[in-house]
Amino acid sequence: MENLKYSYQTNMWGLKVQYPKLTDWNEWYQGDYSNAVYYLDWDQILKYHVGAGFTGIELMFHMKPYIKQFFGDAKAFTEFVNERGITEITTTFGIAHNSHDPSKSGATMRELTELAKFSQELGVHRMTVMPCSGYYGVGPLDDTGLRHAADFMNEFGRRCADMGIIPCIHTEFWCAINKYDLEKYIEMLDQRYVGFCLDTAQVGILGFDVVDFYDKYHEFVKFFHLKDTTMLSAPDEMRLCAGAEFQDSGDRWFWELGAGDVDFKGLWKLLKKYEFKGWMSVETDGTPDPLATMLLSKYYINHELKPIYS
Amino acid sequence: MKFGCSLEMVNVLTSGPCAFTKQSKKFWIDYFKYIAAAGFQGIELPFNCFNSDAMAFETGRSGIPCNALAVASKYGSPEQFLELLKEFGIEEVTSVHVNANDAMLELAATESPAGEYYGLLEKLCMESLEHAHSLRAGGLVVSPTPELGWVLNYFKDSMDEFEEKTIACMKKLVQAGKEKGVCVAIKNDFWSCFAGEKTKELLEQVKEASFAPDLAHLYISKQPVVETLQSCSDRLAYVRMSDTSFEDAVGNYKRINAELPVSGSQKVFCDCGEGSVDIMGAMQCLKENGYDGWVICENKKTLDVYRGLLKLGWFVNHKLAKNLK
Repeated sequence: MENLKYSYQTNMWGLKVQYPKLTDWNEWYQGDYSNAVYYLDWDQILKYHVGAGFTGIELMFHMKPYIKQFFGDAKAFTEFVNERGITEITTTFGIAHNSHDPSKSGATMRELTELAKFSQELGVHRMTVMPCSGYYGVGPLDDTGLRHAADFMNEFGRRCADMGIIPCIHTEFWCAINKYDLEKYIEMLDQRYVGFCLDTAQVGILGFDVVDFYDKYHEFVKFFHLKDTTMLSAPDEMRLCAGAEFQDSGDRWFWELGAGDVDFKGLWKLLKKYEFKGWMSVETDGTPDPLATMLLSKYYINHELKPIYS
Repeated sequence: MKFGCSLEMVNVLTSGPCAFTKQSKKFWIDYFKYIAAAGFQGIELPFNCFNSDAMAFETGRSGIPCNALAVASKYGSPEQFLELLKEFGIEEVTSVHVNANDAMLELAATESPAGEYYGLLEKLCMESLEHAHSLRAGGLVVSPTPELGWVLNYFKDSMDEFEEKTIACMKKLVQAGKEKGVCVAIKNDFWSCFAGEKTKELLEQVKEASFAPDLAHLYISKQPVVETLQSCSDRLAYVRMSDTSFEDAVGNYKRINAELPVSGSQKVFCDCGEGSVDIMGAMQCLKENGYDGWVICENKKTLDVYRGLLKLGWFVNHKLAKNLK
């Protein structure tokens, strides 16, 4: 029995996978003769995950209405993915917009709570949550704003506990809670109800040493997003500008595991030291070729990381 | 008659290789150049101002020029955006397309009470009008209702009230458009509450609105394309050239996500000239009637946006130019 199980964040495939299942490939392929037909439906895309050895998937918040519209309810979607070899929907991703501002955060609490209920119906046990809005136009937060954002998350965590879910803080490099106040924010969190998703690229881009970060917060870290980057310690002006996640140049922030500068081998040594057991999710949004990226990442896991700890 | 290109031809909601690239400013900068290279000097923009929709999620993050915030944060200002387009060879933003279905998707995503739909619709319409005005677009093309499937889901027992309020909103929008010098044109959609014969009823109610006929949607609704253009010739604006061979054999028009069928034929649209719409007849009709407005061209949901654009340019600049009498 292996200690580490691998999931994949499905946003890599694009904003939406159009169809649940194509009924007639030739309707699309005939006359087109490109590979586009391979990317149009969940039926096939789920099989790619399983074929590559990823038996978990992670969903974005905007999948909730999609699932309701196309599958009727959460359980039907879970059955659909289970039938294709996905054993667990490991995580759902949400955003705590305006968590720093009590005059606006009520609506966000309602939406996130609904997402948590939906996640429970999917069979999900953890959520990844961006802890506030994007930095541009909102950040930096003052101490009061930071306190409100932490109170918000602690309250959300308590609500989630009743559903058997732990929300894990996911710190985007472009979040209003950023490099200079992240650790202060962490100190304000009630770790009985809130965990941390260590996103290796996001934390590295912010300017933290990923291995040191895990060493310091290993008890708080309940989940991982594994992705690589060549932009460790990116400058403020790149992280904090409008639409920072989508660089105007079209350059990528995120790369396949092993294709950037994140010290995954160092991290794996600590996983072994602290005997981490559970799911880890690979997340590689921005890749121009999802299939190649998925296979390259799994190759790196199998051949470079598994010998250290598995 | 002038031919423009709809940016909705780029389906940013699809998946596959390079799907994320379409979020970047770099993609759009390049695509504007390609649009000009394909011979189009005008573009129609999509509009969405809501956060819950994947495309408009935290608007301003990406380079898709789908609302005022996105234009301001990624292109500087409407004026700078227009200057950039001109530098690439695109002379104008012809129009903005706003779709009432986006108000419904926001309602559904936020699980808000049905009654809030009307406020969302008005917000969507008025912000899109302001966006069009800021970009000096001559027109605002409106898909006036959400998909019938959604409407039946929320308003099954109050359809008369729904139609009345929709008409009232359209009238208000037309009036606001007049004040800003923006022509409001109502578009037909095969899944609309006002599809088919009911489009005429809506146009009769909203007398001052223009009509932006979408050829593929007319075909799917089993409306005679050329005859419709002929009968409405005095109200046409922003005619949408699109193509399809889709036969709605399973009543998809009244289902949610009507453009993404889960049974029967699933490919709804095709590239212009490859379907069953009498595009040549339609364009001939427009020419003979002296139509001097924009024809907005769209290979809707084309699988390769670069190839689709080239094919569209060829169809307009070679096929139509050569064969129109």
